[in-house]
Amino acid sequence: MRELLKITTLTILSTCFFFSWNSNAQAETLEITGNGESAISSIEQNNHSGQTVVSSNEVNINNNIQIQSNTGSTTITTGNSSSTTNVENSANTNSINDPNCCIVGASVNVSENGSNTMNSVSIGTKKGMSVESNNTAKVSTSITNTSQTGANTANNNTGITSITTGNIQVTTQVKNNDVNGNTTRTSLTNSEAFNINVSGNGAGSETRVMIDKHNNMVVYSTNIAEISNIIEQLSNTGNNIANNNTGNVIIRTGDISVTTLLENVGINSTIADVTSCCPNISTTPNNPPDTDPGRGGGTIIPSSSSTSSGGMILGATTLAYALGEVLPATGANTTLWATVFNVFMLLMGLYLRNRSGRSPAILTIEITF
Amino acid sequence: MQKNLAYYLGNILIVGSILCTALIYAPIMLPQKSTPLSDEVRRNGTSIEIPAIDATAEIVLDVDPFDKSKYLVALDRGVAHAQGTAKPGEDGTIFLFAHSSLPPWEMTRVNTPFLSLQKLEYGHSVLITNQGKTETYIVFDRKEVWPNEVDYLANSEENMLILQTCTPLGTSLKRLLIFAKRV
Repeated sequence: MRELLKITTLTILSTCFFFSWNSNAQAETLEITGNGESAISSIEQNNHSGQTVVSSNEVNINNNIQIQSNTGSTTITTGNSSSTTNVENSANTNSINDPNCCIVGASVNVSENGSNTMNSVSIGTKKGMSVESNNTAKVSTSITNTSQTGANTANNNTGITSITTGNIQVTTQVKNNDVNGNTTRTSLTNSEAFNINVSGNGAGSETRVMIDKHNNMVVYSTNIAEISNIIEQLSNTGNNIANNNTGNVIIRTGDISVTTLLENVGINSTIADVTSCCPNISTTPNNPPDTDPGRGGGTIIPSSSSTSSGGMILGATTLAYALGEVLPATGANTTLWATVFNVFMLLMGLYLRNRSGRSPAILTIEITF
Repeated sequence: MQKNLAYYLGNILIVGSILCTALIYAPIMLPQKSTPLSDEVRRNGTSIEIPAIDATAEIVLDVDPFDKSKYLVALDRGVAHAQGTAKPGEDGTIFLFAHSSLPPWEMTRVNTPFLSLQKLEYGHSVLITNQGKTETYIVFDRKEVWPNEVDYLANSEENMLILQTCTPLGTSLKRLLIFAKRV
């Protein structure tokens, strides 16, 4: 008997934030054109943009799973026990993309002015960004898996007493992936482009174009992750009792196989990409580092325990884990049994021919009972 | 009268056994041509081709190797990919399994693609096609094992392909494993 006791898949995406903001910087055209002789022109433009994003996330995840399976206490032959438990946790994932990375700057055109003109264009831009992320995640997973096919009693019997207990197979998988992940993408190198055209002005004209750019970006990230994994496996196929029996006593105990897979991946990852943030440029790593606490650091408290009574811990490799203890059956025994049946049919035919007395000499077979 | 009846009945049984034997083993012994894949499977699906034994079949992905009722359904369509192992196109070890034989009345080339898997030898190629992209694997080892012998499957980090079917032919007594490396 193979019983799938419980399959629990718990996926919690507790908090997922996406932030974006718009800047007031826009493409503009500043022109000084068509002035007469000795004119004095001046344009001064100042753009200030500032964004502050503050996100505070706090999440508590508690997984408490208890599985108990018992296929026999007093029966003589007990079936197999198989249980599989899967738990996946994910929490606090923030993604901030600056949509103003690829903006076009101002266009300056100083042309067709008379002689001896003085032209002055001053552009000042200040771009300030502050991103603050405070993430606190407490993930607690507690799994207690108790399987028993043993503890059978057969007392005071006459004749042969036989106790056969089934196998126990326990598979537990706990994954804590992407807990407290912050990603901020912007551009400090600034792809903002200025188009400046100074042409066709008269003799002795003087043109000054001043561009003053300031970019300031601050990313504060405080991630605290407390992850507790407690996995307890209790399996028993033995502890069988057979007393005061007058005949032979045979006790066969089943095998115990316990497989435990624990993964903590992508805990407290902070990515601040200030080199490129255009939508068609992605620098997101496929596998973020396991720990990148950022300012304030993170606290990781992973703990796990796995115990079994009378069992063995298998190497938790992906392939063996996927295939389990027995390779799948892909053949049919029908051909074998059909062949046996055909041989029997052939022998019966030969026997009947022999009994009839008309069988040719070469096929005469003496069969006596 | 009784002797005549026994004589004729004996003859019927002998002839019947010979005919039944021929019926059982004809699908196995006679050469069969591989069934071509549909255009949809070639373009967007996943398939396996083993030129050495003229085997071509669709691969059914993510089949639970624990659940016999599920993987038998998948095996009717072709080759099953064991859930949890690497998929075609991914790094890691791919585990595929398929029928070597079936009852004669159910047996077609489509659902027994690994009928001649025991003929595969070192150096033979296995082609895995996933959404039009083909990867080539070269056979480097083979084993016949009992169904519960899974210990040597421990190393699953290589880019490897494992093909499994039952052996001897017509039984589910043991398992034949073919190991191939990606080139």
